[in-house]
Amino acid sequence: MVTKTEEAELNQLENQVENGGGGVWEYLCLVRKLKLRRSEIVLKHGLSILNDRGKRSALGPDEWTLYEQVAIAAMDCQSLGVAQNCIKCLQKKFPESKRVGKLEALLLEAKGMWEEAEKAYSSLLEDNPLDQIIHKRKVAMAKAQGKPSLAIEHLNKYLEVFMADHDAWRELAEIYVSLQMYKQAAFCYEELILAQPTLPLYHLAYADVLYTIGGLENLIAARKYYAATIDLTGGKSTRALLGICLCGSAIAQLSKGRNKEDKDMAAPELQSLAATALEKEYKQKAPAKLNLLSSALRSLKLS
Amino acid sequence: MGMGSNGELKYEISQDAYIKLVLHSLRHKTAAVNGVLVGRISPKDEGVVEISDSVPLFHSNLALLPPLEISLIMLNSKKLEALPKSKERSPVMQLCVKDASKNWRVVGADGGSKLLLKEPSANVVLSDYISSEKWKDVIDLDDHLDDVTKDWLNPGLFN
Repeated sequence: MVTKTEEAELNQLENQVENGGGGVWEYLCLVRKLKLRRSEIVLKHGLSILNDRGKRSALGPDEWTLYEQVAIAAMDCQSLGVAQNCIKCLQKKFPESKRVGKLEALLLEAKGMWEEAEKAYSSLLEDNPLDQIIHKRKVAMAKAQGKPSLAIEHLNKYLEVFMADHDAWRELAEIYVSLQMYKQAAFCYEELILAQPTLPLYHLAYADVLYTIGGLENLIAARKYYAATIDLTGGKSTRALLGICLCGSAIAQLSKGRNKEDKDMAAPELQSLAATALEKEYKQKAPAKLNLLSSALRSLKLS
Repeated sequence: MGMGSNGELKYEISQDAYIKLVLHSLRHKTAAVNGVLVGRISPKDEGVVEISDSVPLFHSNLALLPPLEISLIMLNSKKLEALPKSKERSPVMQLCVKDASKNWRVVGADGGSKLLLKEPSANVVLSDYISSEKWKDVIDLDDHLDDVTKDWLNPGLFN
């Protein structure tokens, strides 16, 4: 994950680079290090170095890293000609390289030549069946072709081997959500919470999924996970605070007319607390939106 | 999202609403986005819904309920406040609420585009905004929930 300081550093460098203030190579290195997707800028400025013989040779062996970086950025921007040229240079330098082989397969993918790309990846996997990146490319390809159930199949197979890959679990959860398969998504988030219990993000996502499934039991569980999110973020999660209010309102509605014990489950104090925290936050940071928030919170209380 | 009782309605989208929604999708090139269109039945022609504004909502996990509910609750109160002088039978956000309790229907699913541009010049203006990278300024509710100082109603976008 990218920290605030890293992001600030990157944005500052990006500004400088975009305004012709130099530091292009530093910027490109930082983008690589943080694994960010800034393809347009990388393509524009990376290519200007590659096209300048003096600047290019000044990089020494890093020249080849830059070819690779620009090739990937170019494919992301659909500048397939540029990508092809970069890959050709790399082929010449490293004729037997598997790393270049991956780029070639990626280019087939970018061109939409799915079958050829599939073949290329399969042959790469024969040499190294545990190559995580290639497995992930296969998932990405299934997604790109609009076959989410195939993507799910690939991801599940992948996760049997690489159980500790949190990003993959998260990807799987998001695909399930997009297909409205909420129970399966919930399972993924449970895995993630077990693996990294202190990350508020997963508690929040799990709560959102539970709320979406609905029903008294799930709503009460959702509220617990919203509460955990608030706890873990030191009260800073606007989404979780709003979630508490939504849950409170939905639980009150579902337990209407039940006995007193069930009614207590609505815990109106909790909803009020969350509402107060939200109003305080908006008063400080977004006073212009306070009215909007207050009337939304009021309508949740009334319902 | 005006929903009529019959499927024959046409939807006429204003330049600002159109540009805002296209810029929103451009801002998040690699993700699906959603938003709400605000409009009303045209006073001149009952078969036409005039869409006057669009509100960018989300660009991640679109199929989850809580953020969507929040947005509709907030929009509802906002738009009702904003439309006090509407003489028409119902401000459109009421329409939206009515429909939320019924079933949502996809407009134009039966083939044929029913969405029209109000100003034919909108695409020229749009391409101008695209080349000046205006899409960087579009803020949706997702951004707002991460940082409440960001205004998801984008009041200053076209100034």
